[in-house]
Amino acid sequence: MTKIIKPRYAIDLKNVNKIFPHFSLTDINLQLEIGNIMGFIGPNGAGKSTTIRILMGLIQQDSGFVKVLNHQLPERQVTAKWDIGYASEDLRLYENATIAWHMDYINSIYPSWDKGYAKILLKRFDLLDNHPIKGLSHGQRVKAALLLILARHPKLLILDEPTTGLDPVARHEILNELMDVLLDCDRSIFYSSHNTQDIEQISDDITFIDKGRIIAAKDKESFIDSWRRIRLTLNNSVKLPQLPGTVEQRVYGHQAIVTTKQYNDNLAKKYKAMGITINEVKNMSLEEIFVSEVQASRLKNRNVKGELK
Amino acid sequence: MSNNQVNIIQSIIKKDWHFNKNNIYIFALLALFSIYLLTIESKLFYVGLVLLLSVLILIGALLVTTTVVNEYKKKTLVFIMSLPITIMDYTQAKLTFNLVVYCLIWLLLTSSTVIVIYFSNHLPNGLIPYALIIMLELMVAFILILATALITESEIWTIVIMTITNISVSLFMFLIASINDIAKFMEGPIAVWNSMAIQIIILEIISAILIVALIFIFQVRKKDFI
Repeated sequence: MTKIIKPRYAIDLKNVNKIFPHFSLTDINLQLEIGNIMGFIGPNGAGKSTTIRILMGLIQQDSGFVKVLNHQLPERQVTAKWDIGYASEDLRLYENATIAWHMDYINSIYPSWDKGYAKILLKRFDLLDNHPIKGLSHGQRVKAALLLILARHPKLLILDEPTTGLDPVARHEILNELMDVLLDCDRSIFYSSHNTQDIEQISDDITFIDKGRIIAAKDKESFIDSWRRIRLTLNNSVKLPQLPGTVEQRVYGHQAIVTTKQYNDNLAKKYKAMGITINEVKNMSLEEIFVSEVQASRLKNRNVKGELK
Repeated sequence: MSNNQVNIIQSIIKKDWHFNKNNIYIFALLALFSIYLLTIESKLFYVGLVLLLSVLILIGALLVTTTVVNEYKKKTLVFIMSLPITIMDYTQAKLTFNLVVYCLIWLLLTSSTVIVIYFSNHLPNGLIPYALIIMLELMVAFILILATALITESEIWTIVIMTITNISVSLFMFLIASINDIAKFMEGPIAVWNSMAIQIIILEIISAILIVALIFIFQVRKKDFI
């Protein structure tokens, strides 16, 4: 009897490169385990949408390996897309058609369309199916687009900044719905945003991207556990050392603030052994971690370029 | 091609029909009206002629704008491309819809024009080859505009080609009418299908086929879409 091996990853990118005249995506390695939510965070123009377009087969990588739901892309994009639900900030529905028309249209294509669930979502999102799209607010349009993908139960949701421009209530409703999706443990979500609050709320794994490169990727808890901002007092004649994991350190006379991405009890002990007093160890929010990662990565790149010159 | 892909191509064609059917009905009525005017032996004949040419030019521009250019411009293309299709499926759907609708209206107008000339007392039958050459030029111009929209994905380039092809209709009419082998038979009582007329018609048909082939060649080589 043949044993069917279940794939481990919903998304698997290895050494993916894509060069445009004014931007390149460089050496992207990214794995999303089945059943997980990955938050994909980056500033504007970091390469989030380009990466997502590669995942959808809309853009072809110049080199590297792309597998989505165990289908190699771009060759098998059609097979992969049957099980992908894609929503992006720049996806628009047909303005002159109603939500009902769109629901019928999707229903005519996907056998997995769940009419009952679509009705439930209409109620939850407070939408009327006979409303033409052009009369809807931005939030209602986003909800309508999400309804169209959620009601066909895709195995993988790829969401490119879906909550951008939404009010807190609409964002909350959408995030709650996404959490419900994961009650089915075979389904995964790849969620791109520059809104770290949303990502911190729902993600299992987090990947930071900046200037076309992945600058950090870990599970959320590891990020939260290892990053700290430490306020120190330097006693006379003690020079602040650059310990491993230090991302930033600022010294103001005898006071110093250190940002580290490798915090543990040993680090505190090391400072104490050097005669440095630890005044406060503060947890960092995902937004603070993200900003620090981006700044550190950019500083490192500038230094490397400086050395090369 | 699998059944699923065929179904999705059909669903895109049906979608385009749903959003464009009212415009198509209006242009079909205008086309019929222009044919009626052509049968009248007065200055209304010329009104009918201008209306006939305008219908063919405008329906072509309208079809390409609403089914291809607006998909880019209004970002509904992202919605369509999120469906399980490839660039080639999309291209096939757009080509099929546009060519079928345009060709039906073109066939209606071209066959009616030929019939009107043939049975009319005030129009010489020698005009038939000339009329067919002009109608074929309009068809080639439409395919060129469609190809530009599909390949460049650019509204500006599509408008540029639309303008150039529209301006060149009257120039083309003048050019063909100034070819001696065509001009000398235009006022004659019978349609003369001499080698010049046949060569021009064949050249137009080959141009149309080549442009369609070029669409596929360019689209299949495209690495990035949207």
